[in-house]
Amino acid sequence: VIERNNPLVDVDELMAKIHQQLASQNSPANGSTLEDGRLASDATTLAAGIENSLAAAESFAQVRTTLGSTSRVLSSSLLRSFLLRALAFIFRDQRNVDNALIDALRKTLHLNVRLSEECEFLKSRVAALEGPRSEGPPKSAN
Amino acid sequence: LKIAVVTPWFGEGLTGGAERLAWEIAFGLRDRCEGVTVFTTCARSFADPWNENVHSPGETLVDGVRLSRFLVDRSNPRRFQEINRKLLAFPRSRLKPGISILNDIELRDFVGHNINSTPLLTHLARRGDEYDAIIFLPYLYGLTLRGWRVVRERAVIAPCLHDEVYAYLPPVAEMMRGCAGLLFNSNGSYALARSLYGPGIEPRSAIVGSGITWPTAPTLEDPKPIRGFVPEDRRYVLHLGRRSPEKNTGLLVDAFNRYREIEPESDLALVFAGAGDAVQSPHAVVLGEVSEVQKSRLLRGALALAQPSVNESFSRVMMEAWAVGRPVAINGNCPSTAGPLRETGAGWAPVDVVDWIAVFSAIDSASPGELAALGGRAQEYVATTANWENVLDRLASALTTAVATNQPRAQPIVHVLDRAVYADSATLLALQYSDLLARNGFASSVIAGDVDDRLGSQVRRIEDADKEGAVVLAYDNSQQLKADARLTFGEGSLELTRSGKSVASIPLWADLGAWNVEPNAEVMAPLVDGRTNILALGAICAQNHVLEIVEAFAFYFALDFDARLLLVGATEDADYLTRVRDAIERTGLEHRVTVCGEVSRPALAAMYRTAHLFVSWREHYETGLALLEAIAHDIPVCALASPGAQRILGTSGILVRELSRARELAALWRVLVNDPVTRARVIHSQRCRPSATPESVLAALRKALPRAHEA
Repeated sequence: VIERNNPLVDVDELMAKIHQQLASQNSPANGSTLEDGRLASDATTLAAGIENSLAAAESFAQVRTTLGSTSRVLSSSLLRSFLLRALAFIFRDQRNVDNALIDALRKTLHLNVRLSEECEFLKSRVAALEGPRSEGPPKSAN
Repeated sequence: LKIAVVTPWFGEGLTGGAERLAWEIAFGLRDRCEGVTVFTTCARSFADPWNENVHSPGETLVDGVRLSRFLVDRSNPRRFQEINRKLLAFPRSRLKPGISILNDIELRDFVGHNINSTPLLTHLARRGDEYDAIIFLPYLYGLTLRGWRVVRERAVIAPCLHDEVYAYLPPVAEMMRGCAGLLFNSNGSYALARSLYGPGIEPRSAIVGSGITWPTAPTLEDPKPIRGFVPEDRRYVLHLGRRSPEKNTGLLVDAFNRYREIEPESDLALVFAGAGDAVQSPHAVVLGEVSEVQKSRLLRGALALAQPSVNESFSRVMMEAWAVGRPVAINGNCPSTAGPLRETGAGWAPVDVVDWIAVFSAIDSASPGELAALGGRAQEYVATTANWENVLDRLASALTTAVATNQPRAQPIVHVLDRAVYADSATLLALQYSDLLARNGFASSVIAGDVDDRLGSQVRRIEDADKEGAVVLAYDNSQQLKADARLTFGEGSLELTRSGKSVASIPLWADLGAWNVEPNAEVMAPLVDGRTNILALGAICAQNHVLEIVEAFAFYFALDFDARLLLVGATEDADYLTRVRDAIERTGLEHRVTVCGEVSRPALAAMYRTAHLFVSWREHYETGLALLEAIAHDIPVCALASPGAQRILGTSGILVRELSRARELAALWRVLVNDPVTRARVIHSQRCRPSATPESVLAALRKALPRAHEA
């Protein structure tokens, strides 16, 4: 395939590297995450983690209904109510931004999960297509 | 030659690299030129306020050099610092040519609130034509960024360039492309500039190097401690120069502290001489600024010198340490210091804190004899490269070339084409030869029977052109005018004929000056996203085997998921293009293969600058300019072994046969993109390929055009 025109390039060494590339592509243990199903397992674990984080973010993005430890120093319920309403008003825009971002992230997450499933499916198809070829050339009808 | 030097700060006592260089250039050129004038500001130094006038304005004569000082402009230091902080916070890993770091307002303020002197620029605008060359240094200050525009034809920049955020700013790139000449103080600095601003700077660039003043031998009668420190009594590693985050001294201190934690019994010290930040280390000795004699004594007494900075264009202290036979630890990520170290082997090139700890360990455990032998390896290198006499000779020669003026000669030359077509080989050839002749004093122009609208500013119609008395050089089969000479070309071979007889072979040459253009930012931005860019340039037709390229890319994609293929060229066969598009769709690579069609030069410049591999499977080449341009852009070339490619590439690049073996070819591409050793060898072979010079092309053209030669 390669001409021996370049004295700085050892064609035999280059061919060895090419075959190494091809071998690693065919090898089931070539380190690719697509090859050993790690993508799928990683995606499942990661998706669960991200979903937890999103749920936590979502709970904090809701309108506050209690003041937590602050309420102990505020004796008047009227004052507490006013403070909660003020907080709700001040952070209204921020809450909208947070909720939109959480929604976008969740959709992205679902898309990624679907893509990783598609990858797994395509990987199995490729393996099925390449399988017979790796066993050798088709035998002559004679 | 009458020379001017423009620099923000000037004085004998200034110790910065650029300030020392300005001083040495001014006084070194004094005896080699008719006169040297230094234009500078009244500000004291880099470390002092930039808008405070300390010196008096006016002209003085300092030891044969005219020194003119001008008042600095009032500026807003707070605004400047605000932008500068943003620049310094920009992640180094994201720095890529063409990347947008500041918006237009920030850029304007960065230059406007930098150190500037409007009176100085006004003076240059009025009196600049009294000088043959005006040297600006260094590159990143307002005085340079604004001043070069005033005297563009005479502006020679000595940038003192290193790989830092400022080098990526658009006004800097514009200056590098627009000035009359560039002087680099190291191979590494030039290589960096070429990678940032493209090969278009090559015709105007010269690597002149930089010199050092040999460290003086300390007198034996002067054993006085230097601020309580007696160099002869201690084992230490020395750091010379400013301490700051930009100089990476934090890394050095961190590594040394960790080393001393590992080796608490060690008596090795880390000594800092120079101004700058405080040092948080119980084992460090901070001496502050020292005199030249003290510096020399410290260098001679040190076990080794440490230079952790990556922001160096030429490390003077490294050369000084080598001059007294001391080994040096430099930062392996700094091309300007790593290059000389690789060449000499006189030290170490650590890249991270672990490496630095290992270096401290090596220094601590080595005997004085071993360290002296290591440092001694570079003494010959320093004696030849850092000798001021040699440097100044190179500088004077480069300035003479940069300012060489060519008076237009009377004899005009017209280059005649049947049709001037955009991006067509014959048209590009005619334009580049015409430009070359014009740059060398000929009244040269390109004319054609039919002119593409996009070439309206470069090519005139035959009926509109003044052809009276001109030497007519016809391209290929053009019969538009009676030709004095004819240029025929094909398969990378160019012949000049007169009356049907060959009179000269024109060396194959690509004018890199034509690539001194700003890459199209919109094209460039998506191409620097970290993906592998494979560029295939040539018309979309069966003879160029575009389908086979797409097929190989489909296999390549399985090896490199982050890859894209750019197919650039006119469509010569619409049916074939349909088949190419079908093939792309069938392989599901619509999002990774782009059929770009014909593109503008700035767009192609963006593609050349970002390509990782250049693929050409053409069977025929008219001029081979595309291959030469890819080589000039340091892109590994993988070409079909056609006669034209064999002739053009010679013993460089990679030539292939059997395009049907797409999987193996794809794997070859992967090796060329991903294997650093193979890639470096291929690029090196391309750089070393014997190439024509403008002078050799001009000589051949002159030989074939006798009337032009006589003119």
